[in-house]
Amino acid sequence: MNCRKLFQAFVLMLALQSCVGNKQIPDFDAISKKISGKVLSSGTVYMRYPFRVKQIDSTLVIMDLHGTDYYYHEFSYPGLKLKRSFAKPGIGPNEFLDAENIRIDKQGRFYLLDANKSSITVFDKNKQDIQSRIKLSDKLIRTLDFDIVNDLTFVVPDYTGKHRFNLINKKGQITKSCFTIPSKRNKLSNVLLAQAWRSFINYNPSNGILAMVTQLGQVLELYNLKTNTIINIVYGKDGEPEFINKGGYASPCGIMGYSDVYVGTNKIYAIYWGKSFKDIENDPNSKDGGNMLQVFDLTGKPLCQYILDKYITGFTIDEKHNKIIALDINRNNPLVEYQL
Amino acid sequence: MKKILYSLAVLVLIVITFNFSIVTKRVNNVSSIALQNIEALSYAESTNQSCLGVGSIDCPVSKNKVKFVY
Repeated sequence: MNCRKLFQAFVLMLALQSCVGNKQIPDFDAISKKISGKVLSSGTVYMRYPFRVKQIDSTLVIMDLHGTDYYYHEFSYPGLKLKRSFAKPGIGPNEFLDAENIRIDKQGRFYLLDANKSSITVFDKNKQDIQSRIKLSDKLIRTLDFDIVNDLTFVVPDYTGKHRFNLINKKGQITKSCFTIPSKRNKLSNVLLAQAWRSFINYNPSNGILAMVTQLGQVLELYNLKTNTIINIVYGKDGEPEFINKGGYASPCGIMGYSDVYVGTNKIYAIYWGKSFKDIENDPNSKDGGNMLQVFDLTGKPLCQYILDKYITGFTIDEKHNKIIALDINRNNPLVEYQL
Repeated sequence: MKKILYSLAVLVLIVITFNFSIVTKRVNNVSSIALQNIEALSYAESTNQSCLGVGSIDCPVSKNKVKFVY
């Protein structure tokens, strides 16, 4: 090999080395399209901070994160007639200290996560009373989201940070712990890292895909629970959650990232805010929510980004009718519908 | 010929030194964060963290959902 070839190989090596670390950066700018939504009336129900919406068959449930009288409201769908409000805030045995998320099983039962009580409460489809309450294992610290895997199992992230998520049975006991937080920066302080990497999750039992999105960064994680494998970790241009260690707690100092995710049959949808805390602080009229609905295929490849005309916090996808049903907390009638 | 080989060797040395300094810096950073954490966890009760507003961030102090955590 002559010197010139050796030199060329060396330059190539240097060029390749400079690429290490930028594993995958989705560029949504080139694949963005604007869409307008239709505001729907949810009647006279007052909601302070509607954050989650779930729709299954003829039922639609909205969760009010800061509910004063009730945390959840059930409506008929698509008629949007209020059927009942349930889960009263309070310190009583049948009341709720907070509301994190709601899931609906195949039988139409509601599962409500209360992180402050460390429990999942089951409501029967048509009854006002609580059917049962599942106390979560003492080994879990502050479970802030969950989903139903099958009739026997839930998937939950938590603040212990030892594993990325756990599978728990219907008695609330851990049956399996999976993977670790995919941070490239800091692998040492588990609890702090778990706080900073607080994520919202969604699991689709038909394809076995669990998606996790970071609230304080731009990371999408995809896992296959059927094969127990990592499908992809997608780091966006805003990157990992940024935080300062303040007295043993993670104090966010970067951006507001994702606030909800939905795993469909063939696509994954995630709502992205992409606002820095500095910008939010400097603009008192800044709207809560994100207007970038990012769409990925089931391997995490970016497909397109819808730029919404409203800022939304939570959403669900009506795949049958190809619609987004979203929540805009900045208006009195928070329900908004987008036709895809 | 010899000159090119020498300059190539020098270049390799520079790259190795540069990479070594980056790695050392990273290791040092991680160590300091780790130390901070150990210290912070020991004094968790004396935290001066505060939470503000109504939002969706989980406040580690009050366990409420807030807009800002300082």
